[in-house]
Amino acid sequence: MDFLVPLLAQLTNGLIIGFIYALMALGLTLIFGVLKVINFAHGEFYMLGAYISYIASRMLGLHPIIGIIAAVAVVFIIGMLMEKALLTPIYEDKVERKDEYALLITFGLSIFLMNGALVVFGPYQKSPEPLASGVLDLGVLSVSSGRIYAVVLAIIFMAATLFIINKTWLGTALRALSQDRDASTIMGINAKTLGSIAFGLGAAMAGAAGALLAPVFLVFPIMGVVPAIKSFVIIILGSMGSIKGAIYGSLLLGIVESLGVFFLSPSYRDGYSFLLLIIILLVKPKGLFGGSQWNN
Amino acid sequence: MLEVKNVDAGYGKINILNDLSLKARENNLTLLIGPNGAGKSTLLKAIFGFVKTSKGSIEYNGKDISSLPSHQLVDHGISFLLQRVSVFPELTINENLKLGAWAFKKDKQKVTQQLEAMYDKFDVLKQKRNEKAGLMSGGQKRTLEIARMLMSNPKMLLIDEPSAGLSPKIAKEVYQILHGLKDDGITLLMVDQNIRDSIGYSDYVYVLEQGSVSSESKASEVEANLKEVVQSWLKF
Amino acid sequence: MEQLEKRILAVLLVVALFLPLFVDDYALHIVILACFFIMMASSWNLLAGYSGQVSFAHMALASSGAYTSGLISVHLGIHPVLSILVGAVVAGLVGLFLGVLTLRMKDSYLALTTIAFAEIFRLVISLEYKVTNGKVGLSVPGLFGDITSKLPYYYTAIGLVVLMVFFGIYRLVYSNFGLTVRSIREDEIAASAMGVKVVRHKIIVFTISSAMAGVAGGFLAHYNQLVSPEMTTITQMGMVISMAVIGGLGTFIGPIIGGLSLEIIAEYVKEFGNYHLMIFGLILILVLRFSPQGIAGLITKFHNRKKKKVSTSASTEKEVQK
Ligand SMILES: Nc1ncnc2c1ncn2[C@@H]1O[C@H](COP(=O)(O)OP(=O)(O)OP(=O)(O)O)[C@@H](O)[C@H]1O
Ligand SMILES: [Mg+2]
Repeated sequence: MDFLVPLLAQLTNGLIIGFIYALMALGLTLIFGVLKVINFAHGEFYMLGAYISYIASRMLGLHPIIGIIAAVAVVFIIGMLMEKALLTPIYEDKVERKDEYALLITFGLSIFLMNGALVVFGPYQKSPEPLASGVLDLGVLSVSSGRIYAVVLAIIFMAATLFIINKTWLGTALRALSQDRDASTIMGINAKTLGSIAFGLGAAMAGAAGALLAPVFLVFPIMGVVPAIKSFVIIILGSMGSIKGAIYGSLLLGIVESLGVFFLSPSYRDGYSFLLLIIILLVKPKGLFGGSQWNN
Repeated sequence: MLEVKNVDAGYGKINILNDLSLKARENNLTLLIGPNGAGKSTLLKAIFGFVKTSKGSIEYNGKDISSLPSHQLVDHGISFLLQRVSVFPELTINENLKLGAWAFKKDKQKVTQQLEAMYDKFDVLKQKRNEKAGLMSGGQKRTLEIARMLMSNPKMLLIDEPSAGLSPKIAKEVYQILHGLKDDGITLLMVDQNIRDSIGYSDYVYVLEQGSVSSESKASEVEANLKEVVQSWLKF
Repeated sequence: MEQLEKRILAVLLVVALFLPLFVDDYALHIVILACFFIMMASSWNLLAGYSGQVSFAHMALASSGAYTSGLISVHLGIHPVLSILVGAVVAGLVGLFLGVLTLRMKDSYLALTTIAFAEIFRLVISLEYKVTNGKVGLSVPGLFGDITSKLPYYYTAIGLVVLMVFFGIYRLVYSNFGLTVRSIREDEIAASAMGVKVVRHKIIVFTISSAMAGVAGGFLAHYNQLVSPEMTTITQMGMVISMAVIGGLGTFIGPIIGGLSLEIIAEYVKEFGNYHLMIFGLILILVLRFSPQGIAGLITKFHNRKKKKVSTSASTEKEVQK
């Protein structure tokens, strides 16, 4: 039974990271649901969030919580502006192959932001002020309290998002927009503005995830690449555009990763999820939770 | 009230409407008929801004609305019933209806008031208010769409085939409701293939062929000799 | 346009042949790298621009060719010329596998799968250091042994571009096969309704372009005498995509001009710091947003306008003569 404790520790860790990826994947799913676009710059919004929290906590000396809130707010605004500047041609019928356009232009944005950060901040890893120091003793295993805080905040952010989506006018309109754009317009909903808001919200969630994980995984220009790919994996696992699916998918991914680390090899941690993606696409291309979008 | 003047419009490079002009007179029900593919739906979409016009103007109460973004037309009191099914399938009936009141969403009291009014008018909707709209039958969906359209207290309705897919009884009810709207001072522009049933509720009739108006007449004249008129106008 | 393209190619070729008379080794080195990128961007364009399969695994495929060639030349002592060919075959086979895997996938899914594949590939070669020597990279023999002169490499690079791009890809895209592939990109359903064997064509394109990437990767490996995972990062893939799109996606000449000019710009900008990829990202965005046909589109526009001017002035002259 000796292996149980370390296994439990791995699983706890996997779940913790899973919750934060859930936040990021939820953002990606929100964007996909409303705009029908995969945001290939999602990892760079995560990176921006991390840098903003770093700047706030280390350079401006603000409390880490304020850093995280600043990250969410600033990334939200950047996301909205980017959507307005880059994605509007899709809805004005100005581009021929919409998916391809969205794919390439968000990829271009990702290259620009990633290398922009490299120019501005240099390649070095930076570490923002952690939310808390010390460890929390849970009897058989102990978890660093910084991570616990991060998870709690991630869950709060997710709950807030779910509240907005399910219970407010804005959320109802976003869900309507995801189902039928023309019909939403007939209601008097400004599809373009709401599209920008949806993109901003989705980006802000990635930014929040970046800010939350920054003290754990450190901050550097290409830090967003792997988490972005993982959130792609998650939303495919959980069926694109499904909110429930994004949350379950993240937790599943967290568990699969920690099991892989425990039973196979720790150095391939990131590989398991990619492999999982390819397998899922082969056997169940509609995702594990297939079916309707925004199915809560 | 609404005047379409010499409009050209189409999809991409293909022109569908050619120099089309017509009027929807205040407080009247104007009926639009014509063969499949004549451009009836395209005309309504052009009025609502879903299809861009390349020539001419669309005046609503004397103001050119052809360059306004579609969603703003709702604020001007224009509502649109699409030909295709347009309920939000994953939203409940209640949520669908509420969205109809998007224009005055801040006025909670008015929203509730309108909701209750619709539930009084349409009993089916009341019974199923918390079910997903996607689970309703075709006729029930149409009913929901009409109720949702009325939520915003519109002054002008663009209606594309309201009775398509409805049983004769429900269709009749729908016509009666639409006809009754005239008493509330609403102007209607309606496309309907089912001329025999709809003509009695109409005031003016336009026939559209290949993207332009081929004739215009008072509904009463048409109704008087419906048979010949139908045969001479439409080679169905 | 075809005429114009031929003229541009001819000029480029003549310049390339005589360039070594006028410039130093460093300039030759840049042109050799540019040749690598021209091969990569052109073959990626064949895949993405012509058949509509936007893959992010192209660099990984090139790298699979490079590692295959490097490993067998090191361990079996086979001459690089042969090992590069073997590498190309392997890259082609991996591409075939990927093509089959992603066959039914729409744009976004295909992109996501190929990214995941490229990342797995990078992870494996970085981590299996016993075989690949990990992140440090694997030393491999030079294509021309211990010769330090750039000249043979330079002409080989030019030769490969001429062979694979000027002849190979050119013939492909202007053949019936090319037209068919293009019709698939325009409208897959319509194409298959017209009896086009969509599946077969897509897979063939995937295989050919992957094999070409394999050749390019193998060549670069034996030129640098080093293979490392660096080549497979998303930023390097971004470089190739920028070149093809800025040059003109779905045009024959675009990736050639894009590859050449961006590589030269990159080298000059690098002197001031690592700005080039940020700049390319920005240009990539601007091109997609405002001029989706890229440089090639601008050339065509300019060319047509000039032609129009010439023909109108010619016709007015005729009128005057009358
Ligand atoms: N989205 C579209 N893109 C391109 N062409 C279209 C589109 N919608 C309709 N058309 C074309 O426009 C023409 C007019 O179509 P429209 O829908 O206005 O006809 P209609 O009079 O409403 O016919 P029906 O009685 O069948 O509803 C048709 O020839 C149709 O093929
Ligand atoms: Mg119609």
